[in-house]
Amino acid sequence: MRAREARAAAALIDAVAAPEPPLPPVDRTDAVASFATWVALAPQPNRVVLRATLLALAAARFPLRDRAGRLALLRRLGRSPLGEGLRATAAVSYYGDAGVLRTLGHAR
Amino acid sequence: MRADVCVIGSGAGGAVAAAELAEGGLRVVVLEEGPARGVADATGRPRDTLPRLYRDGGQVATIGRPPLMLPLGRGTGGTTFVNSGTCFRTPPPVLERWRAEHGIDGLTDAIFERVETALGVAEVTPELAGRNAATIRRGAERLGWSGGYLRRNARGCRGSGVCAFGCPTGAKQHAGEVYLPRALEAGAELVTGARVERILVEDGRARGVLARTAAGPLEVRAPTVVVAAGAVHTPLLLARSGLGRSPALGRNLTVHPATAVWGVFDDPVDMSRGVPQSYYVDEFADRGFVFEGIAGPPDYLALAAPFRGDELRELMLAHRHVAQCGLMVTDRSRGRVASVLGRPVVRYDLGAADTSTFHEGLLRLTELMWAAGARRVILPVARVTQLRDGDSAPLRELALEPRDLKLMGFHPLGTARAHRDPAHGVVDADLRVHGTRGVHVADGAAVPGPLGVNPQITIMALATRLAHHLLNKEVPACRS
Repeated sequence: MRAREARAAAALIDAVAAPEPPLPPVDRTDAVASFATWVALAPQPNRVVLRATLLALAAARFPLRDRAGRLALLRRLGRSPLGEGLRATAAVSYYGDAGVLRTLGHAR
Repeated sequence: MRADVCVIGSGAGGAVAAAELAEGGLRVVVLEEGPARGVADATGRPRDTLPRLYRDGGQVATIGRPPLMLPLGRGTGGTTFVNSGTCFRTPPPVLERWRAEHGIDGLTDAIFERVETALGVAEVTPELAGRNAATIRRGAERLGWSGGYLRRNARGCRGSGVCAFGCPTGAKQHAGEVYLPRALEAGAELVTGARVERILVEDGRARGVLARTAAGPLEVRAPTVVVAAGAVHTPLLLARSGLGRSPALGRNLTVHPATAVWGVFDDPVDMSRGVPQSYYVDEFADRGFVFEGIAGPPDYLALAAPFRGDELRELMLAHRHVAQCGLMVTDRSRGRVASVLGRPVVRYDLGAADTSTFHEGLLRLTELMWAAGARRVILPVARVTQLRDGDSAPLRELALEPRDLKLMGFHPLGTARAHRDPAHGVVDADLRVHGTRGVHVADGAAVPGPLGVNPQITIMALATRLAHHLLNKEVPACRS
């Protein structure tokens, strides 16, 4: 992912995972790298849509909005496959980080 | 390459057919589109393994109402590498219906015993099953509902809790762990990274297979071809090979649509510990649905739970107190598979009858969670995401629509179904493609309809029966 896409992905992950102490902020995890892996391994049509969505979010100044504003925008995507795909990928990318798992008490 | 039999695919159907045929003395070549899979691929981290071990990064989805995810394995062992390891024989009423309506006979106890012995199928112990299973069991027993611990294909299982992301200890006895090595030991050749372009047929008789590999085209000359590419890809391969002109080709898709319900309890459940799918409730099987406990680590919960923002964080911080149970419907809806621009497109719409079954199933599963002691129940329903304090009224009073539901389909079946009549089936009762000689189907595509239970044993039994039919031998007593 390019820098703009990565910034949009980080803002998306922050909105979905909503980390607060004791959970670490997104930039102290490998969530964005994981998100990028999920996008890279998606089938081509999904990959194109996901990347276009990230660019559209960036163009809509999504990363500059507060968390509530970002969630409100995501809610407008509703339960569409795209909305659920973004939600699920963001959630698993953050909550699968090794440090987050340790903080949650899951040591494996 | 030359062989007596070319087997396409190395999952539940292909690996079994390959092993039985090779051990029966035939020269077998197995073509697998994906890579070789092994314990090293299974890190126990769902986030990192799901996009790598599943086809298309785990993002195969249907088009329809509602769209549903269709997780498929890719690589040696096929979906058995990433399934939950649950083993049910084909239910006797299903076998009776197949006999009467489709002409399919001969799935004997000896065949099932042979498969189960090879896989080390045994019932999970309560200790290994863990507290998620115990929670489901407690709820079922308080309600007087029928259930039990599941039978699974595992040897030396340590309850790692990540069956669906590849077993990190090698305990799961999937097709790539058990049958493929047997095939290779008996002289079969395996080519991974081989995508089959088409089956070669001359004068109605199989002549071999043309595949594409990283090294270039590969032609396998063989008078017999066993297709086991799965219910999504098998009908497309038959179609682009000019085979299976039956109107049933690519149609009659069933998926056992499924979802999950979560209960939040006062006491810790620790659903990440133990065998994820280890307890079932079949009290309502005759109503068209069953429950199977299903669990996983926190990242799996984050992936599946219908929350975002503060609600998701609060759930994740309480993950040790969350139990999960799956609801699987024996679908009456039918979908179809087609090729669009060279990619499979799966259309599946949930019908009114199945929507109604989901509504009943969700209410019953909620009842089970309350009986087990849940304080809160989280639902896969867009307009009612959670219930509190034993009150199911919001769900009961909802006019549930397909678009409300968050579903997955784990068991695609029926797209090249077996039937004695070519007007109704793509393959005959012996799994030979109607109108051809030497082309057979041995995967979920050939299964005539939904089973109401996990299908891997049925597919393996059908593949075993086909192999011995091709060998012209009786299935011997079970192998130790």
